[in-house]
Amino acid sequence: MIKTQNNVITSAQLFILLFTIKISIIVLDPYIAQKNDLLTDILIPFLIIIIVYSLSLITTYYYDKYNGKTIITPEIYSYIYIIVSGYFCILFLIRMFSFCQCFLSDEINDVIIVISLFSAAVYGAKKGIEGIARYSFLLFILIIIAIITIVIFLYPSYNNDNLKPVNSEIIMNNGSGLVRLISGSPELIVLLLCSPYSKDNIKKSGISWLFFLSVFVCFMLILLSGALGVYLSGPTFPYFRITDASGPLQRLNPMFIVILISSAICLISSFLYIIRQNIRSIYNSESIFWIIAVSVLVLSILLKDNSVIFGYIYNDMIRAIIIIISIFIMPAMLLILKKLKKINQKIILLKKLSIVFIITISISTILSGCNSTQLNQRMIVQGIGIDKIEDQYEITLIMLDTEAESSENSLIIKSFPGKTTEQAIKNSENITGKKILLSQCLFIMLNNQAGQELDKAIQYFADNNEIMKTTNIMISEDSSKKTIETAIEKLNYHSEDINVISDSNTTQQPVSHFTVFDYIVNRKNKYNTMVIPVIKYNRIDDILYSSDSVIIDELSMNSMELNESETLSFLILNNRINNITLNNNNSRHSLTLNYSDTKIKPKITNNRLSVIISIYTDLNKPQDRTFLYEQIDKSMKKIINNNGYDIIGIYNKLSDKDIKSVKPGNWKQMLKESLITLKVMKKKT
Amino acid sequence: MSNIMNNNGRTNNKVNNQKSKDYSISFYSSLEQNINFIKNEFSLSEDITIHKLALKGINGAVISLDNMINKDILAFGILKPLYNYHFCNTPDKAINDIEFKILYTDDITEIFNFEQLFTFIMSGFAVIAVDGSSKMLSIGIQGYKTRGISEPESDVIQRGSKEGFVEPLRTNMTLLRRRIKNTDLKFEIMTIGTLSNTEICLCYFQETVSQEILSELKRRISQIDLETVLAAGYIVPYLEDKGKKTLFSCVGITERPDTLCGKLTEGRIGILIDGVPTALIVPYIFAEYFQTLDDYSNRPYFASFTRILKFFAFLISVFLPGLYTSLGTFNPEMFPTLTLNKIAVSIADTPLSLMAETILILLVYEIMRESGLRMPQPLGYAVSIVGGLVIGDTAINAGLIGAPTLMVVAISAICSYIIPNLYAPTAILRIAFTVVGGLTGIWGMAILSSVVFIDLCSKTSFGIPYTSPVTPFADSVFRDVLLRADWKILSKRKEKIQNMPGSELYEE
Repeated sequence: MIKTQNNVITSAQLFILLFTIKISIIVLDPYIAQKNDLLTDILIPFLIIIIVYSLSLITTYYYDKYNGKTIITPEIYSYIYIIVSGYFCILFLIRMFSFCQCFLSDEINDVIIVISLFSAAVYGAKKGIEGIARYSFLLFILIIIAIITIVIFLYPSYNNDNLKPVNSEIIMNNGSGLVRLISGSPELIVLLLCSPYSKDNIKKSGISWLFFLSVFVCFMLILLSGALGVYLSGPTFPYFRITDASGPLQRLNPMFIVILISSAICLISSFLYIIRQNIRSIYNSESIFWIIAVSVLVLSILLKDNSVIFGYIYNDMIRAIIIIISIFIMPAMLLILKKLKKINQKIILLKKLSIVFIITISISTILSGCNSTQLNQRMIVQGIGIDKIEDQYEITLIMLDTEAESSENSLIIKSFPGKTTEQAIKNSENITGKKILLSQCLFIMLNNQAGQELDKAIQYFADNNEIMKTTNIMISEDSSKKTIETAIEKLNYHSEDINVISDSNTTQQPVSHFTVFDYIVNRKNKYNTMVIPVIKYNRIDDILYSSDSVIIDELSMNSMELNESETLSFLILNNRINNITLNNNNSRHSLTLNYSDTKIKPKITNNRLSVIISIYTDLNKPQDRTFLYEQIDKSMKKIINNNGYDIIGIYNKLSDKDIKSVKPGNWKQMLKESLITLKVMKKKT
Repeated sequence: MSNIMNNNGRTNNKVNNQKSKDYSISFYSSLEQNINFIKNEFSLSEDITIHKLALKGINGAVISLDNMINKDILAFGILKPLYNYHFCNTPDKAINDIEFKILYTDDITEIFNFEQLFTFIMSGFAVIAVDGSSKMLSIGIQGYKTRGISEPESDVIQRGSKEGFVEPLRTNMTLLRRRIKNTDLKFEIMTIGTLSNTEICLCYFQETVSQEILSELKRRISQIDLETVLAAGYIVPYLEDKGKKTLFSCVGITERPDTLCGKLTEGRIGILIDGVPTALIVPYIFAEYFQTLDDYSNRPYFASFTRILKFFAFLISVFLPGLYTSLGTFNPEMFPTLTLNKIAVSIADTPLSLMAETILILLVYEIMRESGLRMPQPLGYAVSIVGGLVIGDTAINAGLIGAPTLMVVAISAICSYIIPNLYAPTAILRIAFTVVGGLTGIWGMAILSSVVFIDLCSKTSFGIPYTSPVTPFADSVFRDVLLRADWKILSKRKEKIQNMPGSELYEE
């Protein structure tokens, strides 16, 4: 066995580092799961490790444990560790660049953030592994606090149905990071190889803590961090949005960012520390560490995705080879320098590099914040109205008037045209000279025509990172501009009272509401139907109210309107409302559902669809059960039989063999002729 | 007032006197020669007093510094018995008679060279010289004016002693000895400062202290190459671990003898400095900033509550201005709507950006604080009026600053006073976080906080991790750091500082 020096990382430590860095890479890059050349990230380090350890095993197997002679000297080990660590550093930083591009606002330069992050990591590496280890334990505590906080905020609004798209992604695509991580980890093989060396080799230092830290970061980011996931836009990573069911989670973003940045710094620090220690074991010099650190940073900047120089290299294999060659050349060049004994020049070079580094960071940091947008340069929007008139969109914005004398009467309403909603928003920014802020928007109101093409109207807002997912969407019977103007006038332009418009107690019945969140979840699912409330202005009672709902099927035409009881029935059947109390106006009985559960069993027999709908509920009185039965039965027959719309997703519940019976174009007819049996039963306790 | 211990049992380690003149010249036998030498050295100094004595059978002299000695004791305890005694022996025997038979005082030391003479007379001793003898006697009859023992101004507690350290070293030693009546408590005197020759005293429990830490401390003190030591902060940099200098000091400071006694029982070493009413404590870890004596006097539940409050207050004082700036500039969606409305309206009226406004108010506050410290007391009311009315009210009405920003800075300032010893790093850090937050948002703040915390975590104090027992973790976090357990639990386990987790030293 090779007599290892104290400052050369052991194989077990390398395994742990590889594992943790791989978790982070996969977590940070949502597209890596889709890339076919993921093997590049796994294959190259795997091959290196296999080759190195195979050689070490073969050559040392027959020699004495402490006096073994081998062709693999500690210096060669150190070179390999430097290369591998440097490689992963660069790869990690490249991933951080693309992650920052999703996350950061336009005013902050991602290069500045990554440079600052890397500088912090260099600082941490210089401080030593003990400091990093202790700091990672502090993060461990913070992560536990974060997980507890998330659970507290998330628990009241948690819904199993919201995770269905998540499961389908994992099972059907088989491309999610978690699946590949667990099933395709070569580190497990490395662990077996290095097991004779692992005993008593793992130091009581930060490496083990980094492992736990990374696992927990991974867990938190993927499973619970809905607010963080808001920034990961794109349809390939939708499950982050699904867990963001409550607005308060968005307010925990600073905590998530701190954990993410800090764990990234810990990881890179540990890699740089490995590089530094191995450099010192070979060269006994500190200056070379600085040179390699700067080289890693420069290479990362040059090789990031939208880099001018290497941006056109899409093939990761070529990119990986370039990185490895570059890093390998560096120690060779420095070895030559050492042999030429230009020690004094290296010291001067070190000082110059340090000064250049500090100046670069300082100037770029200072300059990066000069174009930030102040609050008074923003339009704080509290409500949006979208009217589509023929081919033209007109958006009406309810904004805060920052120049008002009193903050109470401080709302103004302005309208801006555009061919699309996005264009209309941009027009508003150009005309007012202010940047729009959508985070305080409480509702989006559409007119009938805009509601018919919901996708075109809402898509821009759904993809926007700022808007709250709990923002209500509603359709106005009249034009939204007129409705908004009337409502705001009645509120005397009080900004504190504006939530009355979106408050479910005033304008919407409690059974029917539709949010941006619902839109994002439903738009991915075919044959899923959305019910959007329609609001009207009652001029007699002088209030806004909602008594109807509109079905938007597959984001296409507005098909029909539902009254209150029909909407209620629809929501019960979809398991979207299972806890409600309402009064039957025609009788003296009240209907209460507590934690009801609806099960739908469709079957196709002899080319005819039969559906058994069972509602298990907590009804106490037989009269109430009858009332519910009658309401739902009437609604179902009206919606399904009269219009042929699969509003409760019967098709998705068919078994595979039944689906084969459905011919293209036949499903609507099949629905109309379906036999629906409705049962309302008391839930068994 | 003399309360000096007998010098015979005292180690007096002189440190680094290369720069001072070499006075280790033995006394001359001739009294005149000695007097002339002294006069020559004290030429142009009017405070030297040489009182020649024509005693019965011998000539002598009393040498002292004006206003350093108690003249009543000189007259009745020294001169009167000297004049009444008939000397008939050799000069050396006369010195012995004076030392053991004649004088009515107790603190008498034989000295043999001028270095000792100058040290003693400048410490308030009177020196008796006899013609024909090459040794002299120093008598401790200090009578210089000192400040009375009073309550420390910066280390205030609700319950507990109102005594604080004072300038004379010996008085401070007495304050400790009165509280710890145990022979295990040791006082080791050393001298530092090549010009000032300031005495310092190392206080420790011999059975409890780590000998490695003690010897390391002595080694660091021996490397102090200052000319003068006029405050505790002069020697703090020499006591810190090499290469681990950060914003936070790993040397504790206290003005309370009871606090120091408590620290000594845990294996720490106290350093008293003559002329300075504070004591230094080494090793010192970060968690100790949040501990006060009141915590141990109050009930455990309330003590735990105040401990947690202090942690939160520290975090608020450091992070709040930066967080406010970064969220207001880059992440306004974090604020509730009503709050955001009010902030936006207030900013609309002001000419500066949020970051500039916050930094301006922070700097104005620091100027006011510094002015309040330095200015004469009668003018203190003017500062209050200027600060409260002009800056607080008028500036807002004039539209120069916004009310929310002022409120944020005020809260941060109030929270920083909950731990006075941490004020210096807090003041700097909150400005740094404000700048970084205003330029790069939460991201930059996260990076800077990582740097600060890595810095904290990598720091050691005499080999003991600065952030222990939080990290590396030990269960004593829940007994005496985050919470304060009942005394019945605390008294069961004797915690020593050298046994902290992560420390390389361990003793039973």
